[in-house]
Amino acid sequence: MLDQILIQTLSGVSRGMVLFVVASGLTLIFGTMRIANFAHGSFFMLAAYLTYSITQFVGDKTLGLVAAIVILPILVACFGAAIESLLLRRISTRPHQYQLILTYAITLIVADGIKLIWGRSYHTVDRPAGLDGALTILDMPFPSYQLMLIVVGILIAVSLHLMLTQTRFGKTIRAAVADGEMVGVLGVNVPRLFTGIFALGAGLAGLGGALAAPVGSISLGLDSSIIIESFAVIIIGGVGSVMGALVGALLIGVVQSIGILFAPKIAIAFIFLALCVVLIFRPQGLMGRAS
Amino acid sequence: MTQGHRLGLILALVIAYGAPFLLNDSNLFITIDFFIMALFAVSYNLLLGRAGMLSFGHAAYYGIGAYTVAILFSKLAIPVHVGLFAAPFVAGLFALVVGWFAVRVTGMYFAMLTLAFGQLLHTIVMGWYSFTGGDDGLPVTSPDWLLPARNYYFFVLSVVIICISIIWLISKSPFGVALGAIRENRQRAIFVGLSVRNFELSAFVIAAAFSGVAGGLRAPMQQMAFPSLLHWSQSAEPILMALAGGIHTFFGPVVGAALFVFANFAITRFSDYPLLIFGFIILILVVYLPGGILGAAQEWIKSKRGGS
Repeated sequence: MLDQILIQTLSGVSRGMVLFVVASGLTLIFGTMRIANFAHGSFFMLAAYLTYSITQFVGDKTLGLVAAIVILPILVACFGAAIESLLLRRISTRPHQYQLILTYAITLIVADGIKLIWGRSYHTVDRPAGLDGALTILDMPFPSYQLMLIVVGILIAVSLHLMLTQTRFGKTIRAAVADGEMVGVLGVNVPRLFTGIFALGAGLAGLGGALAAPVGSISLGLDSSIIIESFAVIIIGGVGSVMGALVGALLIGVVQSIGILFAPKIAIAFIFLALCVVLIFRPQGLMGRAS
Repeated sequence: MTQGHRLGLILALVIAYGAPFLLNDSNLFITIDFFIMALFAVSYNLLLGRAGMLSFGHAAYYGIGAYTVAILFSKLAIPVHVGLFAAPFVAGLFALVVGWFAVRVTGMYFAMLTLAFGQLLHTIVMGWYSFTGGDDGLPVTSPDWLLPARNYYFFVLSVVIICISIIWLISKSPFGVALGAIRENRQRAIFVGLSVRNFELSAFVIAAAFSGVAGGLRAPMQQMAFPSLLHWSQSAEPILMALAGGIHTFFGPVVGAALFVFANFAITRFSDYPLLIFGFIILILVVYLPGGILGAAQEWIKSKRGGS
């Protein structure tokens, strides 16, 4: 039983890493622009479907996945930048519910657009050569691709942290999380900053979609499951905090994986339970600052 | 209310009660659908339009209303028109528990928290096979006198009119005015001594209770209570309807409900991708018609009167 729990924990960490990549983008957008971006799940789903098409087009499963992981973050970032500058910016002075509804409308369009292009049936992406097997941990098989996801997740977390603390763009983002108005007063071009942040966030969702494509199947509905989990992650972690997103994502990944072991049908309920506990004791989130 | 408003209202009532003698059964069902969605949207707008609270999990209470009727019918053989009386209380009770947590936060946080709780309730309904029937749903049969479409039409119409009238009275009461003050300036409302959280919690519970009635009316119509009634995509509907019609007008959500129900019926007839079209409609409405249809119409009338 104990080694089963350990393996499930490892699997949960792997799951949590993908969730972290997606949620870190969402938390940056939410923390600075105050937009609960529903389209974030659509960016993720779109990237997963595009990964399928790219691997089909390239023909080689390793090369195809690498190409997808390189191209898709940029492509989805451009898509995000277009949405921000063409649509969201027009209504930036209105109450936030309008922005939320706008991003919701985009989820509808993307979902039906995907149905139109890729059809209703689900697709699968092969794991790359060398990572398509399983390693034996504690006498139990563990998929090596999921192990790789943990390593990649750590790398992304470190690079995001370095970007936020060492680069000018990153420092400006952190300043905007702390006090958005002040950043504008200090002479930063806020509309351009927001486009940049939205693109960065969308790009992270795209990266997450490409990384997650070989795990499980790619189907409609991927958007709503990831967006709900991501919202839970950023509430638990604290809005605007990338490290909070990491903690929240790992927590949710592990809680859910262990939940599957005990109550498979309602495993997802454990996420919300964790959410409630955090909100009772720490409403600003684990890593969030009290306002 | 002016003389003109009163006349319009009476005319609308005459048309609503006269329509069944002209419509066929399939059109009657769509109109019943519209009445139910109108109640759902109007009750929801007590939160969004009046109190400025964006809940994204309101389908949970709508669904709980439907399941209240369905469970009372299938487990205790209580007829649906009796079970309907329990729907607002059960929905309100659940909202009281969720709201107690949710009103501790505001804005987008509130939206995400209500969304999360809504999904939690959805998961429970999906997973609890023995009690809710899981994703098979729970069958509901109306008593004989409610089975004919025309009878059910009159029943739903009357219940919806009574409920919307009560919501009207609530939103014009001192309580409703206080909610408006909280929406306009939360900080100031706190300073003048309003117990803002209690007001918000009450609004949340009342809105949920009436959404529960709407759900309770839905179950007999579809002869089924489904878990999808609680799903978050269902929660988006009253928001979209309210925004499309105009959240700062009382009857805006009714106009929005009409637009969505009848447009949806028309679009699904000729397109396999209705969401694509809907998405673009919403996009255009949000960007170009921020006050909603009724809000824009009122502006237009005002500007005409002002100009002449």
